Amino acid sequence: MSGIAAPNEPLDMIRLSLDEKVYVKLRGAREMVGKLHGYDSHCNVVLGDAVETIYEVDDTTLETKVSTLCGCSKKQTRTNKLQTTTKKSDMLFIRGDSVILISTVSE
Amino acid sequence: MLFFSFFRTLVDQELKNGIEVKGFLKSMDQYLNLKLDNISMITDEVKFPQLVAVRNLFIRGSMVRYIHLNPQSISTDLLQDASRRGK
Amino acid sequence: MSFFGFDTSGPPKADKDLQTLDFEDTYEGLGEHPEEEEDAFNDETFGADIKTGRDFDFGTAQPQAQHLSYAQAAQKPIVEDVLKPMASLWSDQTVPEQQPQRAPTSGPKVLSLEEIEAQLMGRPVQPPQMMQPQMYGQNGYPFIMPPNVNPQQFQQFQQQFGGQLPPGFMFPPQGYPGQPPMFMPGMPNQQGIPPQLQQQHLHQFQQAQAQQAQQVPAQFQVQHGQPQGPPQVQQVQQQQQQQQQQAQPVHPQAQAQAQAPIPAPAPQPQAPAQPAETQAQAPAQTPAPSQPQSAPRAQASSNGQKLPLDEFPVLGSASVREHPTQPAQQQSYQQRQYSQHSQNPQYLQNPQNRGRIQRPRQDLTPEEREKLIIRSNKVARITRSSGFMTPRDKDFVTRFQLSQIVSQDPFNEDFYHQIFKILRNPGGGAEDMSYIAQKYLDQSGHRLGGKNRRADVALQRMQQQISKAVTVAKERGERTGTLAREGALGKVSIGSIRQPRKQLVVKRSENATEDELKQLNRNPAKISKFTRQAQLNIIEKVYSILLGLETLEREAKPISTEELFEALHVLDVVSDEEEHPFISLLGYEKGMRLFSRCFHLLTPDQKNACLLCLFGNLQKLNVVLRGSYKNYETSNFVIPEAVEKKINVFQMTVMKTLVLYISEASFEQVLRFIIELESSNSVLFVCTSKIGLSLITVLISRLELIKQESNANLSEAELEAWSLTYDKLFANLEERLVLIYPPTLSSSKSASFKPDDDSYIWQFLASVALAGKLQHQRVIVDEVRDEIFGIMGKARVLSEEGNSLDSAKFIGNLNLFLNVMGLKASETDISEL
Repeated sequence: MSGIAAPNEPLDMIRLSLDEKVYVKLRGAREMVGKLHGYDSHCNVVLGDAVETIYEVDDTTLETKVSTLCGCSKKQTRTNKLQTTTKKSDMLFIRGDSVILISTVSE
Repeated sequence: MLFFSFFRTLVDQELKNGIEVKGFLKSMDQYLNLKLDNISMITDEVKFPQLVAVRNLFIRGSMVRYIHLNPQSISTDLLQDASRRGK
Repeated sequence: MSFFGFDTSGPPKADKDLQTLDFEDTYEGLGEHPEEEEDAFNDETFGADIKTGRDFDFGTAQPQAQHLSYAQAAQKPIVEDVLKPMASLWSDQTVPEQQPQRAPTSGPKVLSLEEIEAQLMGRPVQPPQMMQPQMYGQNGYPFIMPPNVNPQQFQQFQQQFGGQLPPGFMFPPQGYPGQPPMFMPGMPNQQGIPPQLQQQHLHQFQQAQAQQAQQVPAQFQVQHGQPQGPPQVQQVQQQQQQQQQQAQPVHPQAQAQAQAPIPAPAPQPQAPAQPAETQAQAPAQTPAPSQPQSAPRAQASSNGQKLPLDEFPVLGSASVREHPTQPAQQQSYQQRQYSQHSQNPQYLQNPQNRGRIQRPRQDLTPEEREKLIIRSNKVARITRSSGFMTPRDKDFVTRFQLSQIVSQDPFNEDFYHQIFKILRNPGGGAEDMSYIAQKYLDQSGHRLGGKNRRADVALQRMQQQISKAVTVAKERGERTGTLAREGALGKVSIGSIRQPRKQLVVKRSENATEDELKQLNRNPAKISKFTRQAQLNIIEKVYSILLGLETLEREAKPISTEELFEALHVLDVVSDEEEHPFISLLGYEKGMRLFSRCFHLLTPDQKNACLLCLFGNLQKLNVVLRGSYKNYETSNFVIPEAVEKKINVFQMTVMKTLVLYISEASFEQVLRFIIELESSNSVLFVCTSKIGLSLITVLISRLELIKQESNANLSEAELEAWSLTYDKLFANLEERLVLIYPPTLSSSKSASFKPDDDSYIWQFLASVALAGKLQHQRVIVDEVRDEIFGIMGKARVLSEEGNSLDSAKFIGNLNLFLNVMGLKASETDISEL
């Protein structure tokens, strides 16, 4: 057994969060909050009681506004609605490819 | 190899991948490629009509985003320990 | 234009954009400019001048034969030119062995259909049989018998190979009557082309070769006799040559016969099918010693003898004629197959095959026959690529696959799975290497299944290889110093969880590290005790040590808990305002679990120290601090769900461990815990939390239990000390006993609550009453009188509502306390026991 690792290994930061609530930022404008149950060096992660939030720009509003107000569409597109979808999962494995960052969450 | 070790214990497990496929995990390898059996549900039937008739399939591990698992078949304590050991 | 009856006009809206495509526009001419990559030899194979038309009916249409008779077409010089390169493919070896065939160039004499028929009736010769030896030499598939190979030739071929057929050898499956001929890889141009064309081509081959042969007789004389190519081929070729010498005299006729099977389209519709059928039969017929059909006939024809009419293939009568000979053929086929497969143990082991060999097919019902056909079709499909890999190949693949998943130390490499298995199937036997390897094999569903000896052999070899490879890698690492600089370059492996492969290696000087360490050591408290980060670090450090110890424990090796105890920071001294590291550790769920896991490893002294520390700082314990209802005055005294959850976890882990320990602890020990608890001057606060109250209950009841045990010989001093301590404790609570009732549970304030929730309060009161004297009990009853009657009232309401179960529970909990004083409560009144 290799015992205690040097405290400044990057993955040790994740290790400290084991069994704690973590925030995981993912590719594709997704976030995940859940209890960290497992991880490996690829940042593959297993979360318990995970809540996923997906951010999407509401394209439908964009299109209608562009088509109706052709001239002044610039302002309209900016005020586009940001849609969020949340999904829950009791136990979730996230493949490391899509992980951007893992951070602790204050309870 | 941790998750290889981990998933090996999860035979007969419901899974979903990117296109949300649900089935029983038949086998997997160290690249986390998956073989699913008894595909019982494909949510995006409109998007992927070609998958409706599929009963079992092989998924390249790299194409997987999430795998939803059944908490009952997982020992979280053990998983945490395994993560600490890095194995 | 409409395919399949669809309306191709499309929806009316879309027709602006949709361009209507005509079949003629899209496909016309595509076939004229084929751009396939591998068609370089198509011309050689099929002839250059065959136009790819749009009429794909091969059965009737012959593009270039529309104006010419077949004989004319066959003699067209262009075709010969085209075919010459093909001949050159085997020219060196096979062409010289063609005997100069004097006769065939009989000039451009065109035979009429009648003439052809007359010749056919008179001298039946099967041109393909003459042709086949060349085919054999040319296509070079020695293990698959080409159709119509001369029997003698095959026998010789077999002799040369002796009994040692290659492991992958399979005889081409026999064609059944009425069944389409099966595809054989060795006969590329036989099945793809309509039979008429085949005949024609064969004839053309002959002519071309005959011409070539005429040009090179001298060359042949020189080359003949010199060893050329592999010996088998040579011999076969010689054999071939002899036969051709035999056949020579009749060659003119043979040539004529070759032209004969021109289909007279209307009257003999079955004619095209016949050559193909005989070819399909041929592989089965040829090697058999009794050759009912082809051998005698070939013999006869080569001698120019006349045969009875029904003995040779009459056009259109193929199926009728073949039937009588069928059983004999098949029997011989079976015999031969059996004798050959007897050299092939794998084949014999298959029960299906055995059945097939032993059972004559004559006495089968049509259904059975059909089944047999289906099955043999299936078998043929399966066996087509069977034997493709030799056992060694398979062995290699197995080894390779296993080498990726088997490790020397499965507990280390495959920790989760190994432990999980043990957890879920307790009592699972020996966990030695072979057992684990067996598991791997079972898991992967390998065909060897692990039950086969071979697998074990392969496994052992593979394991040896791996361990060897590992040692080599280690040695090399030590030699080159890569291992010595661990942390800088990582390990030999790709990386572990803590040390993933690094892109950038920053080398720190040794001195700098030491300085940093010194700094760390100088101010350990500041860094390690207050931040959440530091607390988590402590936990993880303990986990690391614990996992190491558990491994040792599993291996039944002696363990030292010094390091573990140190890592727990139990003996750290902190001021009252500071959080104690050990106590903060118990504030995390994982810390709680950690505690209950490592507690049993500690020595008695260490355990004692832990508990003293815990009771001395109980008010700082997260579940007490956060679990006290006093924190939540603003939110109606409702304890947050997260804290509730933590309390539950604490009860499941730490509490369980503590109760177990305390129930075995000595009087003196427990007394010290209570004294420690009182010294913190926070008994009242502790009592406002569920955990605190429960812990005190446990301590008091343990002391009382020891005291009441008849054989407990407690000294006067000890009893005195306990009595003193109790008085002190009671003084803390006197006149404030109601405070132990959280407002949410208090029966006088809360309308509804679950009956289980208040049991810990009554248990506490019971233990206090038990330990106290009569005056203590009286004080207690006075103080909680309202609560008692509240409960009774509640139980009464519940039972009136019909919920007698909950009602009984309330009363039961209450009686826990009342029984101590010899009282008993019902829904309506309190009586003496």
